[in-house]
Amino acid sequence: MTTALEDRRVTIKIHNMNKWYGDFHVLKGINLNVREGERIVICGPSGSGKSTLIRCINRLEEHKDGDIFVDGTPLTDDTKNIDQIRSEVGMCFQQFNLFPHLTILENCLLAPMSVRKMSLNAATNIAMKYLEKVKIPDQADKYPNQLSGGQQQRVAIARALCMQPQVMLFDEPTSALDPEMIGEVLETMEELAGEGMTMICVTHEMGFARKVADRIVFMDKGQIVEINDPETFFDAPKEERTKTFLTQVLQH
Amino acid sequence: MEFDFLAIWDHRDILIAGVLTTLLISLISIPIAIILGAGTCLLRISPKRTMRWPAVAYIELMRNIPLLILIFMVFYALPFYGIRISGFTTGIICLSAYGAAYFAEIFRGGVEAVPKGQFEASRALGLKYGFYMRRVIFPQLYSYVFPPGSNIALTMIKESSLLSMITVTELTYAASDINGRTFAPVETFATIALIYWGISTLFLKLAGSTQARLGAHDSNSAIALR
Repeated sequence: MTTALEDRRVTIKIHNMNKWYGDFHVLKGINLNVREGERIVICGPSGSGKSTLIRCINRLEEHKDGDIFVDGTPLTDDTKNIDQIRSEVGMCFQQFNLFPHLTILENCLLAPMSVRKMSLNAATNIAMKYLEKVKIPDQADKYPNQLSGGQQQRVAIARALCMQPQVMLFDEPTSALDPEMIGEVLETMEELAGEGMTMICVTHEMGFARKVADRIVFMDKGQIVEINDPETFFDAPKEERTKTFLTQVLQH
Repeated sequence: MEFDFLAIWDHRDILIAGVLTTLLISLISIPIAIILGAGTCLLRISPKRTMRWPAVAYIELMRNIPLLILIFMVFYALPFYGIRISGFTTGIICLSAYGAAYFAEIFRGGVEAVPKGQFEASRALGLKYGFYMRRVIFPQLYSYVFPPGSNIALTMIKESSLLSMITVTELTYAASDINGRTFAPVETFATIALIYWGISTLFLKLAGSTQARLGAHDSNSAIALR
C-alpha cells in the first residue's frame, strides 16, 4: 500500500448516473470514482438516496441513465455480467439477512461452493478463516437466530468476505443494532479497512467516518453535495447544507 | 331397519383393493403435484413475462374447469386424437395437474411472505436465480405453505373418488361395486365415508407431525449443501 491513492486503479466508476422511481428523481447526476483500497463513507439525511446509490453498484437497483463500471466492466442488463460483478462486490445489509435455515458455516459456504465452484474443503477453510477474523469461529454450527445482532452482522461480513470480493458495500450495517453491539461491528469494519479492503459504507456513525474514511461523500435530495477528506469535512465543510447536517448529527 | 355390515365384510377384498388403489394414486399424484407446482411457481414469479404467462394460463385453466371435466377430456376426448391412456394413468395425470396449479399458488404466497432481504442477500452473493430459489427461499417456505399445502393434498385424496367415473377401481368404485352386489347402500357408503375419514385423519396427523419436525429452524438437521 505504498502507492498514493491518486495513482491506484479505479475500482468503481460512476459517471453521470441518474435514477427515477416513477416521477421521483431519486439520484441526480452522480459522479464518483472509487480507487482500489479506498474507504468511502456516504452520509446524509434519510431519503437522500445514499442507500439507493450503493445498491446500484451491485444492481439490486437499476440505474436509468449514465454509466457504472465495476473493475472496468459496465453494468448492463446482461445477467451473466451482473452475476459476475455481484461475485466481486460483497454487501452487508442493515438487517443482516443471514439465511435462517442454514448454520453459520453453511451461510458462509453456499456462495463460494455454488458461484466459485470451490470444494467443500477449500470453502470450509476459507469460511473458518473469515469466521475467526470476525471472532466467531466457535459459533459455526449454530443457526443465525441463536446469535446476537452484533454477532449476526459479523457473520454477514464474514459471509461476504468468503467470496473474496474486491469491494465491500455496507448499507447502514449498525442501524438495526442495540447500542452495546455497534462497537464490535465497527471494530470488525475498521480491521477490514486496515487491511486495504476497498469499502463503501453508508452509515450514520460519524466517529467511524472520521477515523476510517479516506473521503466522505455527503448526499442530500439525490445529489452529491460535497466530497471531502474527513478533517475538512468535519472541521471546515464547504457547503451550507453539510454544515446544517453536521450540527444536527453531532449535537448528540 | 337393520344394519347388515356382514354383507360388506363378505366383500372386504374389494374394499381393501379399493383402499390400496386410492392410496397408491394419492401417493403418486401428491409428490408429482408438489414438484410440478414448485416448477410452475418458479415460472409464475419469474421476472420474465414470457416465462410468466404460460404459468398463469395453466393455473387459470386448472382452477376454472371442474376436475371431472378434465378427467373426461383426457379419458374420452384424447382417444379421438389417437392418444389412449388407461384410467389409472389418466387419474394420476389429472390429479397431479390439478393439484400442481393449487400448489403453485400456495408456493407463490409463501415466496411472497419470505422477507425481501433474503432475495437481496442471495443476489448480492452472486447466486443464480434457480439456485437461490431452491436452496435459500424454498426451504424457508415450510411454515407458510404446510397448512394450505396439506389441505390441497387432502383434497386430492378425496377428489380421487371422481376416478370411479372412468372405471378406476379405487375406493368409491369399490363402494358402487359392493352396493350393486349387496343392495345395502346405507352400510356400504357409511363404511366408505368412515374409511375416507380415517385416511384423512391419518394424513393430517402425519402432516402435522412432519410440520412440527421441519418447523423448528434451530433443531432441524442441516440441509446438505449439494
